[in-house]
Amino acid sequence: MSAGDPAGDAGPSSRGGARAGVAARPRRFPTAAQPEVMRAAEKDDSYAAHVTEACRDAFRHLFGTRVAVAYQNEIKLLGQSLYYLLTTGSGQQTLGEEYCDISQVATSHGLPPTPARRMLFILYQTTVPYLAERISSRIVSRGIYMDDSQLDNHHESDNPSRGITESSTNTNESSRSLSFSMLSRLRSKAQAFWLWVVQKWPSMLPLGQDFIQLAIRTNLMFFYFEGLYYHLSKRGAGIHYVFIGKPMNQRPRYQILGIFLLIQLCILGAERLRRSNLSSIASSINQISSGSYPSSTGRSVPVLNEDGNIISDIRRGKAVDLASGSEASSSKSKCTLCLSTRQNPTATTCGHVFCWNCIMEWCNEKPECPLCRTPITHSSLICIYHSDF
Amino acid sequence: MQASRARLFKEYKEVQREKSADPDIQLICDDSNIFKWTAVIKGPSETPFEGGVFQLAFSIPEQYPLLPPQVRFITKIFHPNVHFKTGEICLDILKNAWSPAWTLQSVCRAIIALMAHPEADSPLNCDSGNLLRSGDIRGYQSMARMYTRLAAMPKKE
Ligand SMILES: [Zn+2]
Ligand SMILES: [Zn+2]
Repeated sequence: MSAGDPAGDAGPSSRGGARAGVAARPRRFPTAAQPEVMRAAEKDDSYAAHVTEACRDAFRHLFGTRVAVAYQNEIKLLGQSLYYLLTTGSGQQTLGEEYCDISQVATSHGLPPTPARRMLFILYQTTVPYLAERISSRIVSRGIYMDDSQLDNHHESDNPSRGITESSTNTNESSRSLSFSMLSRLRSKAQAFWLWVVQKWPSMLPLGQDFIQLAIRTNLMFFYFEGLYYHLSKRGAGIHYVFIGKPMNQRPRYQILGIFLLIQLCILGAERLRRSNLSSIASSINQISSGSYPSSTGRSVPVLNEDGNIISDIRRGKAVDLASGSEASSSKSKCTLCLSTRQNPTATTCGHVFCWNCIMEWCNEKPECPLCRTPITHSSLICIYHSDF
Repeated sequence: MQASRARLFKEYKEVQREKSADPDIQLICDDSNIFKWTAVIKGPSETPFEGGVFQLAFSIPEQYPLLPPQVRFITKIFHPNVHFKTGEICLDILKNAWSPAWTLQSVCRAIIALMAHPEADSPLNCDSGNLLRSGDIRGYQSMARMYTRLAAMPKKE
């Protein structure tokens, strides 16, 4: 634990220049190495899961299983918040940190993080992922409900103009303040933005997920190199670790993993660039096909267009039928395997009709009719080219 | 993967639309993972499971619907075809008799039917199977009712 030793031991290569200056000053603790940080994080995860489990049990006993299932995300949030508030929030080490002999510091001078910084970290760690998930799932379900959205709308609606009148009357009733007109204008703007998001979301969701994945991976790569921030939340709050246990002379480094991750990210990036040409063409076609339906109806491109085959439907102009929800006709020509409108209707010898792809794939799995279990063979399947259903 | 996701989305939509169609089954999709579902089913009437609320966990393979979903009871249940510890269910349509025309909803219905009509000849819970096979219907029913009370009923008092 001498002043000279840690400089060699813990110096991240990227900050070599800065370290030389710091090393002159007496510094007591070396930066924690990656193994300790990761082990602490794992421990914390499992302890937080324990707390969550306990909360869930409590909920189940108090309010019954249904409530516990319905609010499982909130319970998870509660459990995690409890754990981090009681440990980091109160200025103590978490159980995982204690186990690994590491302690949080916020600056390069080795000072412990301020309460505000700790709260910021807890917010990043628990509430932000929860909110993101919440909002995302909400938008997805909005998209799914586009057809029958009248059922359960409180303040959003499928029609922007209706939404505006609704919201303005709402504010009219609730707050009789002078700033009401500004409020309502703000609300209508938010309304329009919300609608826009809902419409765009199906195509944005995979992108967003990709982006988050990428961010997490990049963060991990940096962690392997410099060994400072294992979680994005810690990076955001600027909290890293020092090692306060007995110094060991041989601690494994993870730089090699960082190099592998870097290579992987490069390959991914190259692939994305190559594919972006393709997808830009696809999205332009998307725009054209959805453009013919005015957005004022509130109906977007169908939710399912996040998977490739339905997008191809849009190109053929078939999904319009799907989205407009002409229930009577679509339920008649539905394939019972993919639950969508039949593509290349194909009949079995027993007279049941499915998509060509669906029944072929199932026939590879098991040569019997999915509906009546009559034995079938690949060669007996007939694609009905000239049917009009 | 894409096909299964598309189909699960369809089922999700269907479940939302038909929410009130089958009050005995409540299917809930995990918010972040469409391959994980939870079902809450009511024990069928005139069985020892009447009045109980049972929770099922669905784990859906990426090859769905070519492969069946994996279903197990979360709630403890005393039933010859359900493993008492793991909640594993012995039901032909979840194994070799699977057909892609089944949906999560209809699988739930099949499980409710299994609860009403136990199959003592393929037991996962030997105690329960033996009671039935030896003809001790009363013994089976009282055991099953006891576990329903203990594990599947919301505690009010
Ligand atoms: Zn099909
Ligand atoms: Zn058939």
